[in-house]
Amino acid sequence: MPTRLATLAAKMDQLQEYEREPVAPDKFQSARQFAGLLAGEHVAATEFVIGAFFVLHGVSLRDLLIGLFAGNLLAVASWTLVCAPIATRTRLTLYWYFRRIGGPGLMGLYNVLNGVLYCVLAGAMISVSATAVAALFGLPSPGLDELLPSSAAWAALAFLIGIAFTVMAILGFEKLSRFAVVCSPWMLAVFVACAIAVLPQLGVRSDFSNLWEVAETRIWNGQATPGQEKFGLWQVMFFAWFCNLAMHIGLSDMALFRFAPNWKYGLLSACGMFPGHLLAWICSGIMVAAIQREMNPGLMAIEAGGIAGGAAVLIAGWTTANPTLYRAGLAFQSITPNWSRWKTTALAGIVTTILACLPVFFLRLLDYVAIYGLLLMPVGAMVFAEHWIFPKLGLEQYRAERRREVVNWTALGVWIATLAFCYFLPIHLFFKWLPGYLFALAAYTAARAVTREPAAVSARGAR
Amino acid sequence: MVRVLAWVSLLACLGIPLACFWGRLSLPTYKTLLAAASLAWFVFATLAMARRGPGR
Repeated sequence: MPTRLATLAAKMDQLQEYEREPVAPDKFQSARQFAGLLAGEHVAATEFVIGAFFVLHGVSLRDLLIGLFAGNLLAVASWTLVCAPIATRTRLTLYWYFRRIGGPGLMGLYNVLNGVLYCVLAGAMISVSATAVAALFGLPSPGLDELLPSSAAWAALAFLIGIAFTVMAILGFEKLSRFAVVCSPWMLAVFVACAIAVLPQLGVRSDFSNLWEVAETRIWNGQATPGQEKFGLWQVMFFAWFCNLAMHIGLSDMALFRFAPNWKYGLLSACGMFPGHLLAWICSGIMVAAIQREMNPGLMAIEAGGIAGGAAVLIAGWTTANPTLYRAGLAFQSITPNWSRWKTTALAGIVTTILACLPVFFLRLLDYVAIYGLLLMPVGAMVFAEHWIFPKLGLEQYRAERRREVVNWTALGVWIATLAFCYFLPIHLFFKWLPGYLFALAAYTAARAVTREPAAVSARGAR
Repeated sequence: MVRVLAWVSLLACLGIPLACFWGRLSLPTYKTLLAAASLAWFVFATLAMARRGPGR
């Protein structure tokens, strides 16, 4: 078994070989390039759903504005103070850095888990795109309480779109990635355009004099839609903070920030957060209020922006599902090393397409985003502990690498224990990750301190 | 020039809904013009990107 794992790990390493070396200074990217990349990354199909859900969850205007501002600020701080400093010190991807800490076996587990989670996320994006096509053809989309497809036509539509996205991800991933760069400023413009256009329907006067009053009484009026949980300031703030938990606290954006000249480039994440996770969410909230709070992203965009609105939903789903499918394929390639990239992308695409037919993932998107971050967060905590805390406490770093362990069993134990701890914590799902993160930090540090080797053995091993 | 046209199209995507909001355009006209400005953005922005080359 250990030999098979080691063979698998060796093949997995070959896939990531080109990223093995730390980034050289001549490969550093400018602030402008970072700002552009980050701005484009955070305007996705899911923004049409998240902002609308805040309205359905009865968030008040004051809670929304304070919560989004504070939450996005905390997310920017997480990129700047947690992710970017480790990335710029190591110049490595999380793959190679966590490999030194957790061993290649644990890194493989992380990869596969991430791949499955990517499939679910891409599935949700395809479902959102399907609502746009369904609205164009007058087909019914799933209602808020429908977790399984209630209409064969909608499921068939989601399936066809999923297959189309998969084929395009296989045939033209790179071209589509370049096309996504063209799309992102336009998508944000369409969000804003659609929101402005429906304001008169909500009763806003042409001099904007009653905008605040309309926003408070007809959009974010604090009344949750029947069947939806009431959200307040803390839920909004924590959601905005953890929405990209796997990327900042979970450190997967080390892949990006290793190209930054210094850690302060983490501040540029604000270029993605505030337009995408504040402005776009506010715009989609306005749009859903204009269609009497019906959770149908396609319909709300078409009602507000016509063909351009529908195209924005479809293209947002397409351009964001494309890299997600590609990454999922890459993750699956680690467990099927003899398969070519197209086969693993096809596998990811088939899984994603089947998931896309189930509306549960986009209709429970907020919970899914929370669970996604929660599952991967312990890895970030253990890397943080090993990078910053271990040297301060005189604990040996990278023991798994020195001992050539395929799996760091302590790390695996802490990962499972953290998830169990979070599961049983009697607090709202959105708040669980923070105590979970602190638990993982403390548990991993304590476990390593208890199992530390005598200095002589450690020094001999290091030689 | 192509780049300027791309940005003009994007600005039009923001200006057209404002004209609708102020009552200068009807909702169907706004939707048609928004689609046209969007198409223009895709044409000019793609051309601008193609001219800039894959290096960026």
